[in-house]
Amino acid sequence: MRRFKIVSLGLSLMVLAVFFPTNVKGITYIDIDSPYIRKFYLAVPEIRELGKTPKEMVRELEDALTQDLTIADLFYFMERERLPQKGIYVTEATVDFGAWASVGAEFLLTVALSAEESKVMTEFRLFDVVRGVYIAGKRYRGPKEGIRLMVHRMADEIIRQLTGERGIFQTRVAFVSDKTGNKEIYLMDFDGHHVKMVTDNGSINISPAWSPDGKSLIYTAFLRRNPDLYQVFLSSKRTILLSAITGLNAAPAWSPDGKKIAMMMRGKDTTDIYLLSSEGKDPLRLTRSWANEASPTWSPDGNSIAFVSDRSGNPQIYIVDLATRKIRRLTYYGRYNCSPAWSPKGDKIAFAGQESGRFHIFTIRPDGTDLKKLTGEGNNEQPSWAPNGRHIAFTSTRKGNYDIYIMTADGGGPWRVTTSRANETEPAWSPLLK
Amino acid sequence: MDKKGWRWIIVMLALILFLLPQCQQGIVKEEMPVTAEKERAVKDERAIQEERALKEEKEARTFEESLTRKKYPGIAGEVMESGLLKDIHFEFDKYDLTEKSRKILADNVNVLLAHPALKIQVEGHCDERGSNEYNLALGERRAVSAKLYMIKLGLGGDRLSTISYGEEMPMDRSHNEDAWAKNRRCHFVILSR
Repeated sequence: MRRFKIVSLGLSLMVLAVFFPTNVKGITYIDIDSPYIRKFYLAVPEIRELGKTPKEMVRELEDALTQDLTIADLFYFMERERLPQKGIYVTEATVDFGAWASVGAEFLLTVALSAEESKVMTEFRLFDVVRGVYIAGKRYRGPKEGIRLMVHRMADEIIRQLTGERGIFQTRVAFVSDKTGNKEIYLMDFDGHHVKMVTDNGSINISPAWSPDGKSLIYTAFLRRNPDLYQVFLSSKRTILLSAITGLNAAPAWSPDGKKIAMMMRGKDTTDIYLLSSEGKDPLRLTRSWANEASPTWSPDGNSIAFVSDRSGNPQIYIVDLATRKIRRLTYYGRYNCSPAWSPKGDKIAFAGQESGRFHIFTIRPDGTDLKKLTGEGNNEQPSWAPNGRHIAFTSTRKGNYDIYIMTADGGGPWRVTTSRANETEPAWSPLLK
Repeated sequence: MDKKGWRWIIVMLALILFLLPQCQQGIVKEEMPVTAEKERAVKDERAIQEERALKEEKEARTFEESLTRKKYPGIAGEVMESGLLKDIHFEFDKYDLTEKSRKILADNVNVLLAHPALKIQVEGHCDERGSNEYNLALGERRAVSAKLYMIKLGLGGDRLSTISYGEEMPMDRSHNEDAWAKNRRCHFVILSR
C-alpha cells in the first residue's frame, strides 16, 4: 500500500513520498511532557549511498541530521562499530529485529541518499526495535541546495512519529545584531543557517516579537526620535508604524490568540504595561504604580502576563491575572531578575537573573517553586522558548562578545548558533511555521 | 491764575528738574564731592551696568560658541548640544539625583532661564548591564527625575521633554566600571531655539 503527497517547500518544490502507512495506531513512543522522560538508544547505521553520491553531500546530510537529533535531546547514539546488519540496506523487507535488539537498540533509523546532477533524493525508515515494528518512512526530493531543509523536514517527521508533536527544526529565530554598526533585526534558521536581514534603516531596532501566525514581527525603533512600535511582514518586508505615542512603545508581546499586544508605555512619571489591539490602537493601562514595569510575556492560555517591576526597590518578576488584575510577586531570589519568557507549554517561566555580578538563565514554575539555574559561564540573558517548550534560545558572552545559543529547558547543550564578531542579542524563537 | 499760567510754571519746573542734575554733575566734577560714598555708588552703578552688559554679551557669545549641531545616525532631524548644559550621572539601577547632579541641574536651569526660547529634551541613558528593556524604563525614569527637579527650580514644563535611549547609546563602548559610570547619565539636547 502506498500513498503519495506533494509538499511545496519555500524555495523549491519537493516531492515527498510516504511509502508506508505511518504510525497507524497513533502510538506516542516518547511522552515529552512526562517529568520522567529518559533518553532512548537510537541506532543510526552509516548513510546508504544509492548510486554515485558526492562524499561532501553525504557528510552534509550526516552533519545536519546528527545536529538535529542531538539537539532533540531524546536519544543516546549507539556506536556504529557495534551495530549488526553491516553492508545491508535495512528496509522493512530486510530488517532483522532480533539482531538490533541483541545490541540494545530501542529505535533504528536508516537513511539513504542519492544525488544526480543538481537533484537530490533522500529517504528514511524508522523502526521500533523493542516491539519489532516498522514505524514510518518518507522520501524527499529537491535541489542540491535544499539538502539541509530536507534533513530538517526529515528530523521534524521523525520527532513527530515518536512524540506526536512536530519537531522545531524548521523554525526560525529573529534576533538583533550590531554588525552594521547599529542594531538591525535579522532572521535565521534555528541552527544559525540562512541569516537574512529584516530591517535595514540605520536606526536602533530592538525587541523583535513574533505574531502568533509567524507571518510578521513587531519591534521598537527610534527612527522618529521616539521609541515607536513597528510591524514588518516577512514575506514582503512591508513595514508599518503600529504605535507612535510619545514616550516608550517598547518590549511588545503578542497575545497567544493574536488579538492583543502588551507593551511598555509611559504612565505617570514611570513606565507601565499597557494592552493594545493587534492594530496598535486603544492603549489600556494594565499596571498602575509609582514603580517601573517592563518586559511583558503572556501565559499560553492568555489569562496572565508576567512582567518585570522594581516596586520592591529592585527589578523582580511579577504575574498579573488579567481577569482580576491581581498582581503577585514570582521571584525572590537575587536582586536583579528580568526578561521573563513564559513557556508555550505553560509549566515554566524562564528569566535572566543576576548572581555574583553575572547574569544567568533560570527557570521557575508559575507558582514560584522549582527555581533552577541553567547556565554557568559568562553573562547569559534574554531567554526565548522554542514552540515545543523544550528548548530555550538566549544570548551569552561566554566566548567574548554576545552570541546566540540554544539549550534544552534543563540546561542541556548548549549549542552556539551565531559566531560573528558582532553582538547578537534578543533572540525571539518563532512559532511552528507552515 | 489762568490755564496758560499753570502750563508755563509746569514747563519751567520740568526744565529745572531736567537741567539740575547736569549742573550738579558739572560742579561735582570740578569741585569736592558731596560725599565719597555717593561718588563711589555712582561709579559702582555705572561699572556694574557696563559689566553686566559686557557679561551678557560675553555670555551670549559663549552660549553661541557652546552650540554644536548633532545628528544621530538613523534618527530623524537634528538637535543642538551646548557645552553649557552639562550631563548628570547616576548609580547603577538608580534614578535618584545626587547633590552634585542637583548643582549641575541648577546651573543648567540658569542657562535655560537666560535663553527663554530654548526647548530641550532630556535623554535618559543606562549602562549595558541588565535587560535592555528594563533599562528603557530606567532611562525614562532618570530623564523624568531630572525634568521634575528642573521644573521645581522654576523652569516651565512645556520647555522640557524626555526620551529614553536605555542602554542603546553608550558614551563609552568599553565593558568596565569606568565606562558604565560614564554611560549612566542624563544628557540635554536643544530641540528648538
